[in-house]
Parts: sequence; C-alpha cells; structure tokens
Amino acid sequence: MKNNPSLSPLARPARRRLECLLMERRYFDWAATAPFRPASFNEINPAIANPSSRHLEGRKARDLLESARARCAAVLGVSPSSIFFTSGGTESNAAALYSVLVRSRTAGILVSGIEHASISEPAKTLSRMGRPVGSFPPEPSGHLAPEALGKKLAAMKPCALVSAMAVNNETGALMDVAALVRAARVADPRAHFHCDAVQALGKAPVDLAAWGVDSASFSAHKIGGPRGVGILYARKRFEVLAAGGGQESGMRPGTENVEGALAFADALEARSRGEAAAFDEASGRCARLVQGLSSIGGCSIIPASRTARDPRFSPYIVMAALQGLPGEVLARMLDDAGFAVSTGSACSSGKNERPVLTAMGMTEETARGAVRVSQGWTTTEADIDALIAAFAEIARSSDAGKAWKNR
Amino acid sequence: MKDEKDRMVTYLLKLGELTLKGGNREEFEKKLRFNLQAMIRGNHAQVDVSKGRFFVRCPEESKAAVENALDRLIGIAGWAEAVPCDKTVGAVLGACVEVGKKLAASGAKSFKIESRRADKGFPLDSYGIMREAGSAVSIALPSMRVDVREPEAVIEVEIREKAYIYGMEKRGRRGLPVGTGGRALLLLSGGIDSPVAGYMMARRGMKIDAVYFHAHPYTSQEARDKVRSLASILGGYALGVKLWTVPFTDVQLRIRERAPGDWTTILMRMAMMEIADRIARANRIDCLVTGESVGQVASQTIQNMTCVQSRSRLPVLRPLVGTDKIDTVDLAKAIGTYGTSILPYEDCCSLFSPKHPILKADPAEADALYASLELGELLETAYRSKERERLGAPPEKKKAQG
Repeated sequence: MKNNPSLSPLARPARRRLECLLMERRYFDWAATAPFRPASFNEINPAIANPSSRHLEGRKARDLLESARARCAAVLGVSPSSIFFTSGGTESNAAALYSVLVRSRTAGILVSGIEHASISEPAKTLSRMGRPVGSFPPEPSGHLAPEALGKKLAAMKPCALVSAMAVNNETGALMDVAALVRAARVADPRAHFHCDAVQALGKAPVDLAAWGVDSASFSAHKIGGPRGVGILYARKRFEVLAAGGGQESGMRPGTENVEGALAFADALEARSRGEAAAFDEASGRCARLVQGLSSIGGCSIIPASRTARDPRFSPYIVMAALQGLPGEVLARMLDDAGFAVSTGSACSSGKNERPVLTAMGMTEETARGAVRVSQGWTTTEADIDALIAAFAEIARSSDAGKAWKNR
Repeated sequence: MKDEKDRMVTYLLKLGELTLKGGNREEFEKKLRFNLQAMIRGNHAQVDVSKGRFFVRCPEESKAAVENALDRLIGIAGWAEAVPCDKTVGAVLGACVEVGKKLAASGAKSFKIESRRADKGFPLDSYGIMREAGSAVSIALPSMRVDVREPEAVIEVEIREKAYIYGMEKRGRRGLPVGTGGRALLLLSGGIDSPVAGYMMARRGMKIDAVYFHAHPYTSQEARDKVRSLASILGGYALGVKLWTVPFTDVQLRIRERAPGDWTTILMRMAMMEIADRIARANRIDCLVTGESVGQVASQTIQNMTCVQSRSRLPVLRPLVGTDKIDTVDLAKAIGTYGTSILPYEDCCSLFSPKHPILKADPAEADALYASLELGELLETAYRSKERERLGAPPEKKKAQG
C-alpha cells in the first residue's frame, strides 16, 4: 500500500523520516552527484601548510599538490602543466567563458543550445554586457552537429570562444567532440574551443588530446570524489578574469585545496581502473532499463530514437517520461516508492523550464514529463528491475495516459 | 545623566477607527493593548494608555523590534517616536527644536506646528503653543520655514500628564484590533489573492485561521512550505495563524476520474468548501474567507461561486470580490506576501485544472455531479488526516518577565 502513490497520505514529518529510514532506497541520481567514495580520502597525507609558503611544511604541501596534478594529468593523458585545480565545474566553466572579457574588446561567443546553466548563464551575462552571443540548436536526438556549429561560427566570425559540451547532463547524448573541434577550426581558426566535460568523466571515454579542445572542465564529485574540487584543463594558459595571488599559475588564484586535489586524483585513478569493464556492465544495465521502460504502456524514452544499446548515448544516463504525467510528479511518486531520480539538472529543478529538451524541438508537454535516471558503479540489475517495476506500477495506478489528455 | 544603553525611547500611538466606538470602546482598547503587549513581548517594553493614546516605552536597543511590531499592529491610525518632556514652556520649545532638527536632517524645508492641550493647566493655549514653538523652531533652524498650508513636515505637541513632541508620524495599519470581530477560516492557496483576503479580514478585527489542501505527490513539498510561509507572514499581523493542512489527493483523483473535464475545478472547490465548513464548525469558527474576485479567472464567476458556496452552511466572505487584480497585487506587496506568492511552485489547483473550465455552472447540475462523485468516505478520511500547526505567532509569555 505504501508504494501506491494514489493512497499516500500526507505524511507527518516525523513519520516520513521514519519511513525513509525503513524504506529501502535506490539511488538513480548519479549525474547530479556520485556517492562519495571514502577510499578517496584514505591516502591523504594532511598538508598542514599553505603550498605557497616557503618553509618546509609549505614545500611539503606544494609537493603533495603537484603530485595530485601529475596523477590527474596522467589519467587524462595530458601534461601536468595543463591541469589547474578549481572549486568545481561551474568555476571552471566561468573561468573559460569570462576570459573573453580579457581576451578581446568586442568579440562574442558561440554556445550550443543544450549547455548546462554554468555555461548558459555566464553567456547571458556576457550578452547583457554587450557581447554578441550566438547559439546553435542540437539535432532532434539531442546531439550537436559539427555542420550546425561550423555554419553558425562562420557567420559570427570573428568569435572569441566556442563552448560545446561532451556529454549532455539530461539525455546522456555523447558528442563527437573531435568533429566539433574540427568544424570550429575550419570556420574560425582563432576561436578558443571550450568543452564542458563534467558529465563525461566516468560516463564516457575522455581523450583530451584526440579531442583537440583548448580547454575543458571537470568536477570531482561526479566520480566519487569530494564536492568543491574541479579541474580546468587548458592546453595553453590564458588570461582569466579573476585575479589574485597568482596560485595555479594565475589561472585560479586562491589558496589551493590540497586535500581536494589529492582526493580528486584518487577518485580519477579509481575510476580509470577497469573503466572499460564498468562501461560494458553499465551498458548492459542501460539496455535492460531502456527495454524494460519501453515495454510499459505510455512510457517513452527521450529521445524516442534512442535504442537499447545506443552507442550515441552514455549508458549512465537515460531520460524517460510517462505520458501525461508531469516529470515533477513522476519524480515525487518514485521518491515515495524509494527511488531517487531527478527531473533534469539538479541545478534547475524547481523551475518549470526545460531548455535542453525545448532546444531539441520537443513539445512542452513531453519536455515537462521527462525524468532523468542516472546510474553508477554500485547500481545492480536488481535496482534496474525494481525501478522498471515502479514505473509500471505508477503507469498502471495513475492511469497516466488517460488522465491528463484533452484537458 | 543616564547611561546611553539605559536610554528609553517613547512611542506614541494614535488609535484608529475604534475611537468611533461608543459603549464598548473600552473592550476594543483592552484587546488592542493585549495584542500590542503580545507583539512586543521580550523587548522590555511597557505599554501605557491614556485618553485615546497608547504609549510604548522601551530601551534603545529594542527599537528595531518594537518598530517592527508597531508596523504590523492592526488597529492604530499612526505612530511616532515622541520626545517626552516636562510641562514647562521652555522644555516644550526645546523639544520642538530637537524634533525640528531631525526633520531638517531628513530633508524637510518647511513645517508647521500642531498642538493638542488635554491638560488645560498649561500656561499657553493651543494657539499660543503653535505660535511660540513655530517661532522658536524657525529661529533655531534657518533652513526650515513655516508653511501652514502645505508643510513638508508637521511637528506635533501634545500636553498631557507630560508633554510629548513628535514629528514624522508613521501610518498605522488602521482597522480594528484582531480578536474583536469573531473568527474566520481562510481557504489559503499559494496564490496572491488568498493571503490578501485574510489580511483584509484581520483588519476587520477577525482572528484568522487557515486551511490548505495538499495533493502530494501532485504538489511538491515546496508548494506546501510556501503556504506555510504565507501563513507565517499573515500570522505576523494576526497574532498567529492556525493552519490546517488537509491531504486532498484522493479526492482530486476521484474528481478527475469521474467528472467531466470542464467541471473538475468547480467540483474540487465544492469539496474544499465542504471540508473547510466542517473544520470551521468543529472549531467554533464563524465564517469562511476566500480570495475570490468576480471574473478574475474563468472559474470565479458569480454562478460558480454560488455553486461552491452551497457546500457550506457558514457565511463565505470574499473581501476581494470587487477588487481589481492590480490593487490586490499592490496590497500583497504592501503586506509582504507577494514575493512568496509568486514563487514558481504549482499548487494543486493549477495541476488539476482543465484548460477550459465551465463558466456558468448550473446549481442543480453541480449538485447532481457532486453527488455522483460519492466523495463521502474520501472527505471523511481527508478530514480526519488533517494536520494543524500554529504559524507566525508572537513569542509565548514567559513565567517571570525580565
């Protein structure tokens, strides 16, 4: 009875807390944050001093920081001098975007139509400051087409910066970053290419050298590291807007988060071990999920063209909807049934806008109905089966399709 | 010389509409005093009453809290920080100059003096006070000139058991003290109108309680929290609001299942009215209050209101029935509920509402449809599962005051 959403009484806070404790919870919101992996703090030598201090303790902290940088660089296959630690994906993205203010007096930027708020909002700010800001839409499948980017960029030339993400945080669409970069180079060779790769880490192959991007953003908490640590990869150093004490070669002034950097390195190494095998397993679970959901009447996968083992999508993120049921409501029903899912980016849940899905050309109703299911390395097939069963139960009991039509 | 931190501040409060009351005026004053004391409790403030004036004295450090309470107090026409002084001509003129300095500092270029002399023993009559004080202020402050027609500032002198001088009178909330006008149960949604309707009835002296219909999982916890914060804001004026939250999902699902799409809104409101009526009668509440306004949305036609009203035996008051939306919005901003009301969480009405609700419901048809829903048991369950909390109430009385 507890799982029947239509019967759920208004739970008193105390009782609700108790229910939450007793209820088996299944976590399907890995794209928002991956559970913190305690192992990532195990090997940390506390760095008591400021890495910029010249005494012995300071030099020790500096060594620890540099070792973390080297380890991260090794996993990402790039030079340590191109890794700069930040406070997370948002700061890395902001540093890249706002660099256009010191890069050029007038030139604008081009961003894709499906970027995370940490790209699209700074773009709006730049627009308010008078910079030309262009945008290009995705394919209906949610992918970014190199031709669309190239065409728009050629029209905007000269452009200071182009920003396109590697993996979409809502649909899981994998972009062909290398092809996007090539198209950008043809259209405007001088434009800086920035890639928000926050969702790519741990959910898709990352090959910065092959991509050829000028800069990219990463965040530790998406792969089991701590929150509050990120990386800005920059092939060549560039001038950033935030100025200060010159730390991180001036790319990110502010006292360095040594512990965070070490934990990020731990998490990266942990993820890279057996990554291929993990990806295969995740693909299997994803296929099971997509097939299971597709077989439920009224349930659809977004985009509809996505197949069970679709190489165009990260297996870690699946977007789905129950016809006629707002995604917000579906997410709450699943929450009551013990499943943690989101309607989309956690950074915009609570708002009624779904810019990514709207950019894909979806109707407002479909966009509003979408929920994001994201899995990770502790997700099991049993979890997937339970989630499919919960979707089926909600579809049955809420009679979703019938109820919301023709209103 | 008194220590700076012991300095006391005096506020003079002018009573509003209740001065029109005859025989039961004393009762209204008593209630106002009770409310005021509750609202400033814990600030070491003291209330005195004398002939149509209330006086609040508090330490300097409680100023902000006391002024905040006075700004929320319903039943006063105006209030001002007053300078009390001895009843000698010299002291009164000195205090007038002191108040004039503050007015000049706030940018006033012209002023006039007004005076009331309750104590006829004072050597100058009202006219004499105005004349002497006017000349004293204009000599001391050359930047201020006397203008009796359109002054930018007014310095008021009242001669009572002491003399009180004040300028910069703040407008009070007016109305009648909360608790003198019976009890009302407000149907509170997360929208702009219903909190305003509740405020308007509180200003008529009514004690306000509220009921909210929650449709989890169709409405979010955020939507419920929004209603709770609206109730808290309202409670700041109404000395606390008791909020009943009624789980309404099953009723709504039944309506959606059985009723024609265009009838869902009106049938839902009928069901809400029935539960509200029951809560009110069980708690000796005298009437229901809604934020409805004729024609504001398609479902709020006079015909529809008539149908909805039929589910309650109590009077249904609609203080906004004839107001324009823009006026309601202005009032919502003035009472501080607007910013909360426009937070983007959908309340249960908007998720369950049809695109085209029926405009002129026929009462007989409405009754027949309502009966066909067979809501009896669902309403009973909803009623029994309601939760109650008190929000926005002033701090509880302590056993021994400081």
